[in-house]
Amino acid sequence: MNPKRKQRLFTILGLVSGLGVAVGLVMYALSQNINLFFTPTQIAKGDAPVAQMIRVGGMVADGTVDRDPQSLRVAFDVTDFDHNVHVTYEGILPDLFREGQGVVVQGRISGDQFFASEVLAKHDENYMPPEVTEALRQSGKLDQIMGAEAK
Amino acid sequence: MFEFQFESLTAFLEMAPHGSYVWPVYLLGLGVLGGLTWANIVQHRRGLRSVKRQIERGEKHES
Amino acid sequence: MRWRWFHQWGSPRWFYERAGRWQLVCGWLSLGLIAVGTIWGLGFAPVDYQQGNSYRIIYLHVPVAFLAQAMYAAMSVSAVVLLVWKMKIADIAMQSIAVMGLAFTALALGSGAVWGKPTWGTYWVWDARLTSMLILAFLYLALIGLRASIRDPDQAGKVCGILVLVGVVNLPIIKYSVEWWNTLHQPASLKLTEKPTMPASMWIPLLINILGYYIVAAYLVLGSMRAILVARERRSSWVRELVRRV
Repeated sequence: MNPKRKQRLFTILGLVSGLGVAVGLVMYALSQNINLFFTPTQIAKGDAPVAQMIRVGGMVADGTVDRDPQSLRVAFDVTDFDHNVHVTYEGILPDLFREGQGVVVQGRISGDQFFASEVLAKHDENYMPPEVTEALRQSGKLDQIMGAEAK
Repeated sequence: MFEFQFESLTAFLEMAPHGSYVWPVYLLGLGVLGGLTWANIVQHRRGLRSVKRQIERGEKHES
Repeated sequence: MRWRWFHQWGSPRWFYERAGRWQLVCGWLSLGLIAVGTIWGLGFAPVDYQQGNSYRIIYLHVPVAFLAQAMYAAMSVSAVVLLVWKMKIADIAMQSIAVMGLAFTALALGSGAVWGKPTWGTYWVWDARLTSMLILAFLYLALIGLRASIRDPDQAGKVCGILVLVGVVNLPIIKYSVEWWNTLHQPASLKLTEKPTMPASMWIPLLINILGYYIVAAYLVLGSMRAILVARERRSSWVRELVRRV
């Protein structure tokens, strides 16, 4: 490689790595804004703005889903296994919504409640045929897999 | 592993309850890939044809 | 001598002829692979325990999303070759990949949106993964626009090459967005270094399709490069000779 080309190559590599560092720093500074949602622990610590539209993400805690039989109103807890957020919502839930499932809810904090205007289901990277899930459930291994995911 | 997962062809096309999501995606994919292939062929032919015309014009000029 | 394999790429005629042969092989091979992978995925792979049949969109979504990023990486290699060695064929590669890359990115975004509706409950959300993919689409679009707005091809190549390299920082952001920040998009199911998080009956057809889409992308880029080559070199003797022979 002749010296001129070598010099051009190093100039380019230098520019790209410099730019990479700059963008990396900006991203790091903005990371709170880039995150899609707050965790229940952040809410409990008071990191989330009150009376402003925010999103909370976590698992629907087992045994907390309470559906109103007369309307579309539903209440449930969102947990990150350290803290819980009590959510109330009125509207259509996504098909994947169930206890133990990851969700992202959008809405406002008011007192110790969270009023959601939108509920989105978050799913993990595990794909399985139903027979396998059934077999795992019977042998008690499903919780291991899902538990590992939750952490 | 090589067992057809649907009871009939209609069940396959219905892909209950998500057929209306799955099939349009694959049609779109087919359309995009086919369209790009076709566009390449057309562009290539057009280029060759314009060179051909250029040559013909040049020859006419010389004679 | 050591660099000969590299410098022969500088010959447009050599490339045009080789690429024609490769294109033929790539075209049929990808058609076969994608047909097998897609039919397998749509009809024979088991249904998912949570998502049901909607997960079958994976057999298009994942390959095109892979390719959207891989093509940008290939384009940045071309940009380096162009800026350092001034090789014309690298400029043509950049021009072709920008168009194909935009198409694949649009397909990834579109198929993802349609998948998102039944699984997440929304077509779109501004999370880090989706937003960085949208930025990728705009980068491709900017490259196409920039080239169209500069008349001199050498100048256009240089300016586009620099923009391509600036945009490279977006690639690690896309890849690690699901790990660095909390997103609605789930982490990857297929990774080079880890066991897949799905059974073989699901990931084998997916792998076949990923391979098939890599090859179809090569087919499309080679085809587009040959077409651009003929147009750009229309005054050169080898193109005239080629047309006379036909």
